[in-house]
Parts: sequence; structure tokens; C-alpha cells
Amino acid sequence: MRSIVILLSLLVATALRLAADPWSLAECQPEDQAKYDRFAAAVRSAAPGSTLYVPKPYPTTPPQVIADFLYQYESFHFERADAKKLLPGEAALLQAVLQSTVTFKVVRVENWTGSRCGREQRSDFFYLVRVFDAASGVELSRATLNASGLLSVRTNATSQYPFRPLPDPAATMQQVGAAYGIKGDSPQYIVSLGTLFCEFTEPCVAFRQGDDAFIFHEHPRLATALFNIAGTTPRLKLKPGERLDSPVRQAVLPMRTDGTEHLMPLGANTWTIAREVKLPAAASPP
Amino acid sequence: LGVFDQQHVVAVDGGNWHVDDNTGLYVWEEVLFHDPQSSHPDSTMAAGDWLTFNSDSVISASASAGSTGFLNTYGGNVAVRGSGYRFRPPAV
Repeated sequence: MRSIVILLSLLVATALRLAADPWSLAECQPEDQAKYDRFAAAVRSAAPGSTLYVPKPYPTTPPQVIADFLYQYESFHFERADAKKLLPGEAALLQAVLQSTVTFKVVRVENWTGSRCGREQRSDFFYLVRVFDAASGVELSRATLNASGLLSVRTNATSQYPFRPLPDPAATMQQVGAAYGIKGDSPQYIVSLGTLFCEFTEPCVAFRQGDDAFIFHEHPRLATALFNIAGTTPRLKLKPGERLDSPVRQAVLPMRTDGTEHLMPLGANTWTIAREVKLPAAASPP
Repeated sequence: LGVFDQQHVVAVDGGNWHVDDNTGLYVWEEVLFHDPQSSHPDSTMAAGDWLTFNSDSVISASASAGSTGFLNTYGGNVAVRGSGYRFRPPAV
């Protein structure tokens, strides 16, 4: 029964939404690549029991991503834990996973956080795994896996805190572009942990127009707005130990603090300014 | 409190770990945190990624002193999920 349901789960897993040409605005240091290669080799050669082991290192297909998620989730053995100490939503997720009554969708999310060029592993993107109850279709949990397949962040849904629907990147770009008069291309999901917050499990949609990048920021409690990173806006690459509140940053990237401008991490310890785009007077919000 | 990428503050609220049957190591699995900007409470981050993301920590002086003691006691016996990193107790 279990194998049948797993097979069904894999069959209904959405095809991995690989952006046609994933893009970013900062590159890792070439001299760090040897370190990342060593980490990748360690993941690929790790044995069960190792803190680096996943059954499908550096997965490239939804079934491989799902296999890595399930292995790591099941290895927590929450079924042995005191049920009263489980996180909200964990019992429902645990039961569904153990009984194989779940389905999955997997999408790719570009990593614009400091972990893109991390201290050990390079993770240009995350796989966002969405876990659904097969019978009801209710989304139980979302988790991000690094490009290596190693688990990163998990969040469970509850009746009080259901997930917001994940917007389709292409449709969002079209709607936003129509409202703002922008003809964009290359839409993709991004995670960013600046004050312009695109979180792991509810990422933003970003797209390009020429040398400019745009980030559409939707949030249930904050203002929905479009932000622009102009190709001409300076980039600041912090040296190890340098701080964002340094005079250097203030000189290179001065910014307003009224919420219309944000310091934007691009990964690779590189920062720039994202500026709010004003909606044309005659346009309706997307 | 933890800080991601020098800007984004989260409140740490716990985590999970286990003792590996084969190695006897304390394996630090995940950190539980609450993110004020998130639309959901109770997120967890794998311990290995926490070591990358958490650029700053805000802790009390007594916690800082205590952490040295904890590191002396457990540091060499701790492994980190999703990382090859090993803690080393401070040289005495």
C-alpha cells in the first residue's frame, strides 16, 4: 500500500518548475569554489548516519528532491517524541508522511541570501517542497532543501496560519508588468532576507527588464509593492568582518529610511539598494 | 535573538537534537525560531544552515559565560546536521 501511494505521490508531483534561465545579480568568489567542491564531494560520498548524508545528493528531479526530504524528515523520528512537545501542525504532517497519504509539489527558488555562497556549501537555489494531504488537498507543510539536497528551513501550516497560495511567476510578471508598464522577462522565485523580506516558504517573484531587476513584494501585513534594482545602482561587496552599518556602506549605498528603499542582499556578501516603483497614476494595483 | 544577513532578526525558541547510536555524538538537528516578519510562527532551520545564516547573536552576559562552559563540556561531542563542522572547546 505504502509503495503504491508513494508512486501515486510521485506521479502527481508537479514537474520541477525550472526557470528557463535562472539568474542572480552577484557571483560567488572563484577562490571559494575549491571549498564548495570539497563539500559537494563529501555530500556525494557520505554514508547513512553522516550529518551530510542524503539518498540523492544534488537532486535534479522532483522524485529525487522528495526522496531527500522524506529521508531527512523521517530521520527526525518525531513519532518517538512526546506528542505534546511537537510543533503546531507537526502531528498532522508526521501522520500523513508515515502513512504515505501525502502528495508533493516541488519548485525552484533562487537564493539571494548570504548562504548562496555559504561558509561550507554553495547553494545558488533552494528546492521548495510543498506537502499536501492527498485526500483533502490541504497544504500541510513547506520545506526548503539546499541544492545539495540537505534540508534548510521547514514551516508547518495550521488552521490559524494556512499558507498563502504560491503565485505563478509568469502570471505575476504579466499582471505586475501591465500595471506598471514594464515588459519583463525571466520571472523566477527568490528568497531574500533583507528588510525587503522574501521568505523561504513564501518567496517573492523577481523578473528582469534589460539591466534592471524587479522584485514584487506581497505580504499579508505589509504593503504590497514593486521594487527596482537598477542596473546602474552601485553594488557593495563587504569584506569579511565588514558591517552594513559601516561608513563605507553609508557612502557607497546611501538610502532613504521611509520604507521606499531597502538594502538588498544579493548573495556573495554583495549588497545594493532596491527602490520602490511608483504605480502610474491611472493604473490599478496588480 | 538571531540575526540573518546582518539585518533580519528572529527570536530563537528551541530546537531538536539526538544522540547518534553509532558515534555517541550529540547531533544538533534544527533550531526553532519565530520570525516577526513571517506570516507563520514556528519555523525551523537545519543546524548547518543556522551556522551560515546567523550572522549575529544577541544574548545576555550570563548566557555568554555559560556558553563557554557548555562548549567545554560538550563541544567536542557535538556534530551538526547538514554540515561537516565540529565544535572545538576553547583552548585552556
